[in-house]
Amino acid sequence: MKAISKIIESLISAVLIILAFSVSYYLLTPSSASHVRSADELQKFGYALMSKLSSNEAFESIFFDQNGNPYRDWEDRLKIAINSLLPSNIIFEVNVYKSVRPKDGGILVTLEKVNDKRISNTEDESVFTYVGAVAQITYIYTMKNMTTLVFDLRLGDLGGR
Amino acid sequence: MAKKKGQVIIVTALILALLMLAISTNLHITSITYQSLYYDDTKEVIDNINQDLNRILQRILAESSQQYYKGSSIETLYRQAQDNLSYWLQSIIVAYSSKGIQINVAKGNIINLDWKNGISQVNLSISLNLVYLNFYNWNKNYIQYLKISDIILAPNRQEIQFKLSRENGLPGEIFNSTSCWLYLDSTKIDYTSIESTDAGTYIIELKNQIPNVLPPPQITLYVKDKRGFYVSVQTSLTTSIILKERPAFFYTDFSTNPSSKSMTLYGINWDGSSMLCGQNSTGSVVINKNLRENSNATRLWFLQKIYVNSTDTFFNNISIYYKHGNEFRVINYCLQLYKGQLYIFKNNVQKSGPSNINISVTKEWLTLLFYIDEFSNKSKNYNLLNLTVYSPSGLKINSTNFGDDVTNLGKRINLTLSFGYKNSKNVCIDDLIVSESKIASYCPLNVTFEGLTGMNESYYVNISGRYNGALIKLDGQFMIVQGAPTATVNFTKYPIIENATVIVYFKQQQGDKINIIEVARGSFDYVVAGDYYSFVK
Repeated sequence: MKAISKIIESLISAVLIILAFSVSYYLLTPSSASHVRSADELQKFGYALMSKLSSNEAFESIFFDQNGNPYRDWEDRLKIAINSLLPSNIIFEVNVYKSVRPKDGGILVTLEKVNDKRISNTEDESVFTYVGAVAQITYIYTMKNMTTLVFDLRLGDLGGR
Repeated sequence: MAKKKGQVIIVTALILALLMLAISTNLHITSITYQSLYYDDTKEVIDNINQDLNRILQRILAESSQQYYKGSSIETLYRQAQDNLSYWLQSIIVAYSSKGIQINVAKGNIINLDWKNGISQVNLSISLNLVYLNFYNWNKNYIQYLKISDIILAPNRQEIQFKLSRENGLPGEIFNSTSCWLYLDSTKIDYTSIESTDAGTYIIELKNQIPNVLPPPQITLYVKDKRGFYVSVQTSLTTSIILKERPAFFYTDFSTNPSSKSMTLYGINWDGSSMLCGQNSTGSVVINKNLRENSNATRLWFLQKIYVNSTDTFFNNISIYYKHGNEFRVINYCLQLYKGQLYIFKNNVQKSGPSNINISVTKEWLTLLFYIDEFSNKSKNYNLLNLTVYSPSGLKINSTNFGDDVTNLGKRINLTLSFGYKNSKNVCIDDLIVSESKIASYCPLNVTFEGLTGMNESYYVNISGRYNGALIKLDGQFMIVQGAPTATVNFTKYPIIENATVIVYFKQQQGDKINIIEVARGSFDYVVAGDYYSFVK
């Protein structure tokens, strides 16, 4: 009986120690380092990507033809442009807002969403909740016609975890 | 007892486990805190705002200058520019509200379309805070512009040159070969091509010549650059004016460039780096200089600056050697200062003096200037030798002058200068200048302008600049010399000229007022023998 109780006590002690080790290990190592570093890099990458698209009037050629008429399929063109600059393990979703001048009596501009279609390289929106790292980027760009657009870009790293 | 031992083990294990959990939780929180401080995107947000502000300012200036070109009023454009900026500022505030953005801009018009001076400019100062990112007091001044300057009509009257510049010292770039528009008064001028000759310098080749009329026609030039900025300037179009008179200045300045000296020393040792003072009576310096070698000069200048701290005797000999047939001849001119009086001798015969040149204060200086002008009397084949001594007293300049005809000097002249002291050790020699490449300022500067055919005595020339750190301000009048408009300006008062601006203008009576209408402008620093100078409006 004594021996049995000693064994049980030892087992309980061992379980306690192992539990403490595993919780500590979870807290200290796995997700935090790689995950947070990846989110940071994703954020920088997102700004660099948007900066690249804004240089040399690339956005203008995505939205308008040579005569200044808007493309009907500009959402697809934007999707292709962003996708061409992304590595294969990165998913994105972007929403484009137009800053609208205040109506009579109004003071502040308002943001109106301009894309009717979803602009993303993934069908399932919920996939962003499962990826290792996610970055959210707000980017402004003023077009030649003086309209300021606000891009809300979300990036996810499939290889993060 | 055994049961208690077992409990002690469990309690110990429990304490150990709790300790481990506490430590790891603490480390976890610390790492998260550290990472959340590290991973803010302030830099990226500022970069984005900075880029887009540059973009909106460019758009505003492009739009405003284009509308101005099309005839919109400047007040409307100021208002539109302000509206566009206000819209952008609000867009930024809404877009980055999650960062706690606060942005202030300096008041006033952000655009300046000063086309009288050929400039289109946008300028804005901002200060910015990102409160939620703990980022405060970021300031920046933004400026973008396009400027036209230096418009010149070539002497063939069929090419117009202009310079285009932008901010940060960069050259301007025209949009394409059709983005320049020229109007003569209000008539459009056609052109065949535009070429870039240098960074920011363009030449427009016109289909037809610009008519040569007076007053010079008003031309308006419009240009659009690659950013979409328009700029214009209206100017009186003159041809490039050329300074034609090129007196041959042989220049040897021993005080600044001793190595260039060409002289023989007798009795004294002087390298030109210091003043010669108090030498024995045997002292003299002789310069042998073949003035006309390698030169097509028609007028030869010689200039010497002498510091005198006594009214006592001083002599200065000038010997001119020239070839007559197969033999060399010599003429000796001698300048003597004796008790404040100046005497000039030719071949030991007194020709001039005594002239009182008022040397009364110690450390005064004299300037000896002479020239030989081989075309002074061409019909008689005479050459004129002119010797002038200047002794300034304050602003007043006293001078004495001696002229002599020197027959048939021919092309080759050797000149020897010597100077020294007969009875005194109180004379100093400083600069000894035989003008070669720099303007000898103690001479009348005859300026002949080319390309202003049709101008007459009603035109004036004004010269302003600097000499020895002081200002020059001179006016001269045009003369017609052998069919060419010429302006003569006397630079007697001014030692070596560092730089000067030349303006040609005429006076136009308008009611009771007289308007000064500038027709040409140019500048020079040192006049170099044999070089041409262009004067542009």
